[in-house]
Amino acid sequence: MDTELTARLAGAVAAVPDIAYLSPHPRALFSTVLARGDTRGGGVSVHDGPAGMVVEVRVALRRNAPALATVRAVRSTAEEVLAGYFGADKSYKDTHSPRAHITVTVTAII
Amino acid sequence: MHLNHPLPDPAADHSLPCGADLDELQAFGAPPPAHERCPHCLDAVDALHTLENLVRGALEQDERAQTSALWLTDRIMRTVRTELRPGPLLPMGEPDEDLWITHAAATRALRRAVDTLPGITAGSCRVTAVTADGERRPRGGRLPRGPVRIRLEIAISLGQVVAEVAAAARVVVADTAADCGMDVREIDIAVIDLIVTAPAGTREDKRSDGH
Repeated sequence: MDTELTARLAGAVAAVPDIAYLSPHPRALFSTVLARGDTRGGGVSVHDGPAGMVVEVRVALRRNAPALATVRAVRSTAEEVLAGYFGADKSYKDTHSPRAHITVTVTAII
Repeated sequence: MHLNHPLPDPAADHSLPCGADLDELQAFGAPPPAHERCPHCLDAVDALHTLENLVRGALEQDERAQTSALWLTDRIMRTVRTELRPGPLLPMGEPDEDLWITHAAATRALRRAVDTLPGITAGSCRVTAVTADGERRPRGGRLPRGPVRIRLEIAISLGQVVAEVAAAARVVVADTAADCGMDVREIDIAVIDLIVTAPAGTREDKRSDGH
């Protein structure tokens, strides 16, 4: 959808403490990691849903991390990125819902 | 001129200038009798010790490297298996939050926590939803947001009180599930096996066949 927004989200989420890595969806695992040889953007997807923008974040946590607190930190970080992004780009805000629905999934604790 | 005898091979001469044999020095790690203060022998012993330490260090480093590689490979493969077989998604946090954890990640965290208890080995673990009428909805996809039921199978060491072990495991499961943001309504601990520790002198612990 928007590669710049996806990249911003991925960078911010990856910097959240106790995030081990962003986890690509299994369907994208081979194409993203193996074919392209990197995981940039993997683990974050942004698309339009029936009720507006949907942001899906998939993360693996470090062992002994406070899972729930970390996942909530991920969601807050994503909200901050979205707020900053939409505030800077009015045209994008005009065409997409600024209040995105954010889903965070823990895929592994390593 | 013909040589009837081959020339001596310097490399095969293992004697020091003082006459002491280098092989014997290496075997005993000390100068032979009457050579205790011989500078050639003392230098040779020092050199042999240095060489031995270097070899031992290299061997230990190689062993650590192999262990590290196996550990890394094991972690990678476990992660890949977890990523490709995540199981259903379990709800985390409040009902209005769209936060999830895969069944594989949650149960692995639960098993790992229980494994820290002495004399307990965690086995199969399942998390299912508990609906209002008490029925468990079928697994697959996402569990409905709400309370869950955890069933964990464990093996315990002989001589332990089952009720105490189960209670300890239940506490650890509850704490870990809370850390994962799960609303746990029921915890079932099933002791399915006994761990029989082999007598001293043997290396393997054996499990009994009984349940």
